[in-house]
Amino acid sequence: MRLLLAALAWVVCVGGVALWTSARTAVGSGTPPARAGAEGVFTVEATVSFAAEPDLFALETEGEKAAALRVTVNGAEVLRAESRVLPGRPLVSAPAPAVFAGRNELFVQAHPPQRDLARSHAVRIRVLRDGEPVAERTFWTVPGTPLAETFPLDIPAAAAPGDAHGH
Amino acid sequence: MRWILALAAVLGLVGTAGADEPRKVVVCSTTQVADFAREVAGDRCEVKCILAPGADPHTYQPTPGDAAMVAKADLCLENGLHLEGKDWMRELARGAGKPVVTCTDGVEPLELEEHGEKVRDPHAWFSPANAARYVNAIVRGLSAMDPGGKEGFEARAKLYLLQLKVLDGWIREQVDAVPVAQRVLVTSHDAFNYFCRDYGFTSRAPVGWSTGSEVGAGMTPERRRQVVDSIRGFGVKAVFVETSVNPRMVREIAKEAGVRVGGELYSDSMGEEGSAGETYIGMMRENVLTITGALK
Repeated sequence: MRLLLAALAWVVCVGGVALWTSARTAVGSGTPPARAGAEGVFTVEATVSFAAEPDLFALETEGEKAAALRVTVNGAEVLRAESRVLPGRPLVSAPAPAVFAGRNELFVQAHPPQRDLARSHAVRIRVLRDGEPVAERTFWTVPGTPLAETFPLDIPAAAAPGDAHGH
Repeated sequence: MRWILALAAVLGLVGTAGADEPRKVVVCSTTQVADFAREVAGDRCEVKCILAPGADPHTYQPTPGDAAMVAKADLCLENGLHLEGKDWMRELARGAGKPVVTCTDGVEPLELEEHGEKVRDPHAWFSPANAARYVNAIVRGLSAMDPGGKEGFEARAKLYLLQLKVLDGWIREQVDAVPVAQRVLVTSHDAFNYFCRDYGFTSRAPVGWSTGSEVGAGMTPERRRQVVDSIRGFGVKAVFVETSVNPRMVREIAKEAGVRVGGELYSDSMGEEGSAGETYIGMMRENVLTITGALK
């Protein structure tokens, strides 16, 4: 009987601590970025300094071809090129509802030609609001490896109509 | 007290449930195929290999033990393109009524002309880009056998394919240090055509695509003379023996042509456990270092 009581007390203590810590984690996990409404139309633009080619080493899953260039924003794919992408020619996504004012997470994957992998190559990513650039990052590949970068990108909130006139 | 013991016993049973579930068994013909399969399967399947390190798939004779191993398999994997002499893996699988996946499905084979006949070169794994095709074929085969493991197979394959891509870039960088005129690869048998195609080498071998007795296989006096002429004509610095082929002939040719033996290459099978060539990536790395070190 004493053993049973001891086990019960142990369950109550450990359970209580577990509940308390999980409640603290939920509170302290950071508030998700606020999503602004009517922020304008966002698009994503990618420009490569090399001829990106479909990856010869890609996993071939049903119905999906190997990509030469891929950009996702907050987990949603916004740009995908399955054929050769020419250097210096910007590739612009369709309107990307996944983008919002605040902190976004972007993932970019690009495949330089295998024969030219030993050099470093650049990829520039710009986020446009109503066609105007609002945020930009450039990445360089490590020689010998393809580019696969995840990065946060802060997009400023749209200026209030009055601000544009200097008020 | 008895309640607590009973509760502990029940919890113990629940905790071990699933751990006893038997793993699927995958039997592979060659060491390379088995290495790819292990990379994709992880701990979810038991991967077994019929060929031992250093064994020759062209001339291998299956044993009753191999038939017993295949009889317990859930899936068989072969290289294909007749690398396995007389298609021994396919025959074993057929005899046991087991499904077999051919890893070279999806590879564009090189065609060799031997005595007026066209033969498809089975040594496709010497191109890392082809190795990626093997891995994709294995992912499809394993996923069909074990749909519950598909996500894990694909995730592991993605990482391994990235490693193959990096390996390919690294090989290009290493080969770049060898003068173009020196890129002549003389080996025991004609196994390195895919490697030579991808990295700009000329291939020469006294023995044809197989060490067995198939069409276009074996050594002919004409091939041997061509090899000696090539070594002299190109001013080749070194020739190479292979781990799975008797080195005597290449040593004789080296002596006749007045060049040195540059080292031993892993060819139709990988190295012993614990050696640098026990994995595909290790095998390719060591081969490239041996080749570039001797030809620079």
